[in-house]
Amino acid sequence: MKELTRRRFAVPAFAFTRVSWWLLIVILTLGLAMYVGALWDGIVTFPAAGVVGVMPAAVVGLVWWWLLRFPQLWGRVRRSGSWVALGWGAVVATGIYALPSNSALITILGQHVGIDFAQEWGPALAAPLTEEVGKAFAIAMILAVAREQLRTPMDGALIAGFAGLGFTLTEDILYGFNMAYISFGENPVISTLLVFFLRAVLFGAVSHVIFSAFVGAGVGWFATGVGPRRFVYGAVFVAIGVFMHFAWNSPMLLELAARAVYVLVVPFLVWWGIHVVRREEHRWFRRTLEAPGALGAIPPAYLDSVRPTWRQRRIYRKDVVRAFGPRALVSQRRLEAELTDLADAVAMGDEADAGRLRAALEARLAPPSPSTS
Amino acid sequence: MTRLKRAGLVGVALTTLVVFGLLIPLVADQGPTTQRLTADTVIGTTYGAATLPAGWDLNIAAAASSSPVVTKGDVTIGVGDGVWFEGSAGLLENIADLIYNTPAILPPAPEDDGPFSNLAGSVTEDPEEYEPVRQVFRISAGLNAASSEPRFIDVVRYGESVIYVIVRGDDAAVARELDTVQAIVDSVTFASAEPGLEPRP
Repeated sequence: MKELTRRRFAVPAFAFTRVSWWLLIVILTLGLAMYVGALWDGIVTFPAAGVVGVMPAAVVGLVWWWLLRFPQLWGRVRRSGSWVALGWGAVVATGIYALPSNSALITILGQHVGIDFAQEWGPALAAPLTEEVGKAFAIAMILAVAREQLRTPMDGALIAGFAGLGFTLTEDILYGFNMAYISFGENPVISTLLVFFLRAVLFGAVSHVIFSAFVGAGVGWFATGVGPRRFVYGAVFVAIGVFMHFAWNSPMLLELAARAVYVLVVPFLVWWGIHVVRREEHRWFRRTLEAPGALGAIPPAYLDSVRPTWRQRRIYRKDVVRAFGPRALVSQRRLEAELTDLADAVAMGDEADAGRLRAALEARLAPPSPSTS
Repeated sequence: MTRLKRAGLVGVALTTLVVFGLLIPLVADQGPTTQRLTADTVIGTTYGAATLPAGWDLNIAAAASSSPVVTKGDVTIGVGDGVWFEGSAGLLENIADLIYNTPAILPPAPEDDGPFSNLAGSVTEDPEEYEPVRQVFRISAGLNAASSEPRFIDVVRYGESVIYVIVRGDDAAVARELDTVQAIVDSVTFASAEPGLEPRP
């Protein structure tokens, strides 16, 4: 929602006095070195695959970046936070978490269970563990560096979603090199484009962005949930993200038809997930502003005008326009944004901004106090 | 968020980085690297399978990643695979370029026998006339090859599917294992259902 003035998870470009910032820089650099090191032979042998891979990766990145704006109804992630999450997924989750330990875990399965089992089930068992953990830890590092906390499961879903986007981009590039090797360099350009077509277009719905967003939402539930929902939904969301990844890598989906069915199921899961998380965001909004003193003199009835979903807001705004004319639309959007900003300021303990926002809203919305003279 | 909480988050993140980046690979390194094959064993590759001989040591990490490698004494035999759509001559050139550091000796091979060769109109006018056949080629190390380079590579092709067998070791030891290599090459099956051979389940 573009009218929101407050932004979440700002990661400073320079914060030389913060240990967490230095650690982030070191980890990102190490991850980049390990990722490039793992790809170095491919880069030298098939430079065309690398060059061609970066171009569709940029397009895929832009599309997902745009798609990740839609869930940002109750808060906007600052660009710096999105970039850091993306970078974490792109080089740390791949270079440090996934690349060294995936093959090691598959080898351990081969050592202790059997070669056939390792070949068949290794990728399904190893990758969800290493990769989902790796991407989810973008949340921890960004919270530490930005010195903020999660408000709702959506915060976790968004950070992890951006990390998943970074992961999927660098993984697609890596697969481009793998495919060039598998096809003995017959046509690295075509083989790389084929990888992107299959992974980003044909099966684009089954993406690391989706896996990670579910896991991140689960982490968000654990961190911010209230009552029994906290652990039930936390576990369910993490399990869905991990299971989707497991199923996609497993031999259960070797048949193309099974994959097609799977791809059709994913959007429904995403719809359900967004629906559940949206309800929680709305509960957070009401809970925060219904706390004593949060609204000041603003009449609580205005809270009802901030609807929980895009669709419900559109319907509500149409009613407002019908009742008060087209100019009321701007006021309605502004009201939604200011109340959401106020909720964020109150929840984050930003008293100064909360006071400023409250005063502005009171000036417009609070009924004039009766004369005491 | 308190300073303690931030420190805790960073600490847990660092711990997982160490676990996944260092400890898990270390655990894999501590385990057995090879296992002695007690009987001839079928090991899968990405696009097929090969039977590896009893008495050889199978590299577990390589086999688990579908690129099995067996060793006996000074001889190492690796099996890998891939896909190639055009003529076999180009396939052999590319394999030699990728694996050898020095010029290798290539066998004569057709330039227009791949499933996509006829797209350029060189084999048949009708693409549906293409019928894959099993072909085996041997790439040999050149005169200037270093001892670390493969002595030879047997390339088995069926349509677009390719499985290659790389043989390393000193010349005398490799010469003693030629029958073993031949048995491995003969055992190669393709998942793409080569006629007369059982496809890999």
